[in-house]
Amino acid sequence: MTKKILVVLNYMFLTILAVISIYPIFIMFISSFKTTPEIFFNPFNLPKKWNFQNFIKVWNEANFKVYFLNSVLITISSLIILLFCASLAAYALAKFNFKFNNLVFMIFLAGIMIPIRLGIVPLFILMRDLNLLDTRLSLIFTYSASGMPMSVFLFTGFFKTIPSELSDAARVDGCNEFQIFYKIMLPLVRPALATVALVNFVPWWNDFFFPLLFIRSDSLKTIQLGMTIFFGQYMTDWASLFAGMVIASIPMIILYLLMSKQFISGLTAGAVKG
Amino acid sequence: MAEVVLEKVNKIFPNGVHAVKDADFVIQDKEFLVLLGPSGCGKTTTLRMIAGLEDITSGIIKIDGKVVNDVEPKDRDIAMVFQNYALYPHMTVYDNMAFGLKLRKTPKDEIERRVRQAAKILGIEHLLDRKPKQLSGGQRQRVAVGRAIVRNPKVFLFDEPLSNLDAKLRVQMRSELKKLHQRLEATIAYVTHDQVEAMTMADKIVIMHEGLIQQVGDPFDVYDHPANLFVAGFIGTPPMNFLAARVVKENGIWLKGDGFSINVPNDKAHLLENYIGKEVIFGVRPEDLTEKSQSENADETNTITTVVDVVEPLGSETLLHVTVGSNQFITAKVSPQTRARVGQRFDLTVNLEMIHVFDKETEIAIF
Repeated sequence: MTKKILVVLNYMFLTILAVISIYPIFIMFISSFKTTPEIFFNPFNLPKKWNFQNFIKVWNEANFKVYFLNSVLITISSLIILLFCASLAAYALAKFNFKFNNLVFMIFLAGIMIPIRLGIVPLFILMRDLNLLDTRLSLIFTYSASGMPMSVFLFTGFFKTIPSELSDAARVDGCNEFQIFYKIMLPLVRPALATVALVNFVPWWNDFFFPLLFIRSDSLKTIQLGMTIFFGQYMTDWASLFAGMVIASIPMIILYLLMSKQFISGLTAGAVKG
Repeated sequence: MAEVVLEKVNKIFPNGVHAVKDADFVIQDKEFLVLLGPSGCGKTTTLRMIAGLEDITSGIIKIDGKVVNDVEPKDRDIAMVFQNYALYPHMTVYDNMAFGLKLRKTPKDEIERRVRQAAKILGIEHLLDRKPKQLSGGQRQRVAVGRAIVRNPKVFLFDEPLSNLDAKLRVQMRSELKKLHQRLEATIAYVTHDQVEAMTMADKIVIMHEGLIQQVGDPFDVYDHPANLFVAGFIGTPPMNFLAARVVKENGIWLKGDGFSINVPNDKAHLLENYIGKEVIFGVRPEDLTEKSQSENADETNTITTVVDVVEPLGSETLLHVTVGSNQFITAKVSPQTRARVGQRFDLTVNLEMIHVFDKETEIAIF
């Protein structure tokens, strides 16, 4: 009986949490179909008429097409660089014994402790000296580098759980070192790849700070930076803003739906006698 | 198939551990060689050096007449079965078995043919589409063996492949592996710490201890003529009994110790000429001790008087744990009809043909 009550309480708690999280998104969603006056008159009601005018306006007139593409380009490139470099670095740290192995790992860990925003002045000077200010590369490099410490830490943990007999077996089967990495090891750390991708994609996609710092040209703006055009000095175009936010959140929702399947634990189960 | 030769092979790990010392032996073509020893004796390291998974500190390893010291594992034409199977968890059984062939760019229909054939030999045809985690321990073991045999390598290396299986399955797989060896006519190096596995499967046994090879020989050799105290104590269950003794010459050569006096047969007595008056170690296997009343030629030259401590009936035989002299404990394997009772005096007759004597200093067998 007490068990049943606990289950009910559990579900109630989860439901409340879900409502708290989902309700604002719901408001954002319905508001994106309203006109600005309607948002103020009927903030919580469903729109009288579902019109896509806001989306069309935002996509075509407010240059969102370009911002969206910039965001996609920057986050995806950063992710590819990050996943490639971090997994290789972690593999070396986890599976090879070399002289300064622990030291290098410690340096990566130190990176977790220092917030990247503390480094904005040197970072700005660095980008200026590299002539990368106002380019997409400035963001790509900053993002992929700032994601490295945490990702290397995560990957190293995963690689360490893979028994070394698997690489021995692959070596005897005829793999060279790189084949061992991408044919055996990488498929086995897929949950880690998904985790790292998700954990980094979201803050990068939502980032406002670094685009504001590095990007000036309108054609290079990301979607978050682009959204600022709806905030005027005297008035804010709420309807367009909500439509913009809906567009901005779609890729994240898709990514979550795709990647959550990859959070399969125990993928290595069966490799060795357990 | 091919011959494997190890010449003065040494392995010193970076932390200074000298794991293998001057290993020197030959695995003949089509021979089933077992590397046997307690854990940490260097047997697995030796196997991994043959595989190329460990560098050799010094010495030479030849496979099929070719020095392979600096040859990559993949180019040595060997296959290895690991203790924990090491199946690739993200691949099906078929892909696990085909992996090595694919890497070698074998034609697809050839891969298919070989995998099916190996699966048929091992009785795992119905499992080809499964992932390793859907298999039982014994099935995984078969897949691991299958992965080795599809490659049709010169040499098979087995690293304690049966130690993760339960006792019943182990006995079954043991005979299957032996059958497989006869069928494939393969050259095999097999590592185990289980002397029963070694005795039952091997054509030749290499016994290692603390990195040193103690003895190389066929199963009867190492059992009947152990080279030293370690081999004598390691091979055989229950292990050989050892008693401290002094060599005494009076009407022949005698081994005298606390509570016993044994006459050494004439054909072996001359081997002890140099030891007269010295301490040696006398060894006798439990099965070479019989109840005096069951023995036909018991007399004072071959009988030890003991006190029974524990009686362990095993059904087909009975183990007696007895005390000789003040406090030396030995074991005897006697017939289940024994009349031994705990606490009683009990006379045991030694089979003098099967006694062993070891030098106390060097621990090397005198006979």
